[in-house]
This record gives sequence, structure tokens and C-alpha cells, in this order.
Amino acid sequence: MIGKAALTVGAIVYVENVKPPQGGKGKDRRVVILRAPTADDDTFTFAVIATLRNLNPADDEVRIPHKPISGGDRQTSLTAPSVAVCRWVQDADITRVQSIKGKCPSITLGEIVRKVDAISGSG
Amino acid sequence: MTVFESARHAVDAYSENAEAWRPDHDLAMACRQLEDLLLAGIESLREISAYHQGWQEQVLSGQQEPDLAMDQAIWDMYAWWMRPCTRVKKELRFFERQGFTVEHAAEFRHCLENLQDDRRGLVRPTTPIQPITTEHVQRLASSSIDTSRYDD
Repeated sequence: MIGKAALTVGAIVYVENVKPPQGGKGKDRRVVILRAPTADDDTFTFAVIATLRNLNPADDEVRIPHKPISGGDRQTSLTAPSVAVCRWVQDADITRVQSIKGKCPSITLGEIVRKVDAISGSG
Repeated sequence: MTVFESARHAVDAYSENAEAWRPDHDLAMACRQLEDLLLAGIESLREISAYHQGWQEQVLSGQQEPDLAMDQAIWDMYAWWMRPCTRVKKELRFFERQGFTVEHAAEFRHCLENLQDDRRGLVRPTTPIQPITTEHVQRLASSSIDTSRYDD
């Protein structure tokens, strides 16, 4: 199991069995951590990362840097154009984390958090 | 001096030196000066990034109050760092064309490209970052998402 200390805000990790918000079949997905687990709480909050299908991100997406080379971006490890889906935000227990893939740049993380806050109606 | 002031001081020094810098008549000496400038740029960017990461972690974990002025000040430091970069890159190309192997050149270019990638499509923040809570998750739980868009 991955230790809590590694599951910091901005960490990009693989989480097993991420279900669509409307329900349905789950899938292992890359996500970015928005709320880290604490000493008293084994859960964390994440936004799903997906491949960017269009030329530009949709209104509820934030682009995450990638590099189309072996190993991907030095920081994020992403090899394909990718986005954080700011409407697809869930909680998970730390036992569902399969591996740590990288770290979201601080500038990008700030934009993701702001967008999640705005979309969810409190921003 | 606080960590923020230290980072700002490093960026100010780098940016001002980069803008004031003029190639010496002695090319080898000028190249050494450019190498020093590149190293100062790399190190000052590391300071900003480290401060930014620490600040965000503290705000998002509830240890610090959200503060738009600080978010904007950090954003401005990145912008201030980037300001002389076009000219620095031009000087770098000049020395490389003269046959110099400029120390720190690859790392400097890497820093600049990464920062440009990180900021692509983004604008100066107008709202502070706020901790994400279970209320956010609950409010988004019934979101309608076409997940077929995301079948990687």
C-alpha cells in the first residue's frame, strides 16, 4: 500500500475502480489529488485526469502539461495531451491507490482547484 | 527575511541583472557572465516554485487562510521571471552560434519551456484557492458527465 505521506495535494496517482458520477462500471484511472489524507482520515479527494480529445480543453477541464516522449513530462509523467476533469471529483480511500505517477505543477493545480470550486457552486 | 521575501529578492535580482546585462567585449568573459545569469535564473525559479508549492499545500490543508493577494503576488513573480527571457534566449543562441558550450543552457531552457507550458491558456488569478472539501464532492456527485469522452 502507498504511504499517506506520499499522497500530497497535487500528486498524480493511479486509483482503482473510479466510477462515473452517474454510476456504472468503474475503471482504473489517473487522478490528481486535491485534498490529501490526514493522520485521522484515510480518505482523499481527487479529480480525474483524461486524454484531451479536442484541440482545446472544455470549460470544465484544465490542461495538464505533457511531453510526447518516453517517460513523459519530467514532473507529470504524462505522454499525451491531458486534462483534469473538474466536474469529475470524488473521494477515495488510500487503499485504492495503485501507484504514484508524478506531480501536478503548482500553477496548474491552482487552476484546477479554482475551477472545481467555481463549478461546484461555492466559487 | 521571510521565505516569500527571499524568493522575491532572488527573482528581482535575476530579472534586473538580466535586463541590465550587456555582453562584454571579451566574449569568453561575457559567456561566463551569461552562465552565472542562467544559474541565477534557474535557482530563483526554484525558489518561487518551492514557495508556491508550500503556500498551496498550506492553504489547501487549511493551515493558512486563502489570500488572493498572495496568489496574485506569486503569479506576478513568475511573470517577472519570464520578462527578460526572450532576450536571455537570444544571447544564449548568440554564444552557441559562436561555438561556446554554455553551461546551464539546457536546464534554463527546460525551466522556461516548463513554465510556459504550465501557464499556457491561464490568466492571472481573480479568486483565491480554497480547500476542497467533502461539500464540493457532494455538490459534484450528481454532475452529468459524458464519460465516453474520457474512455482512454
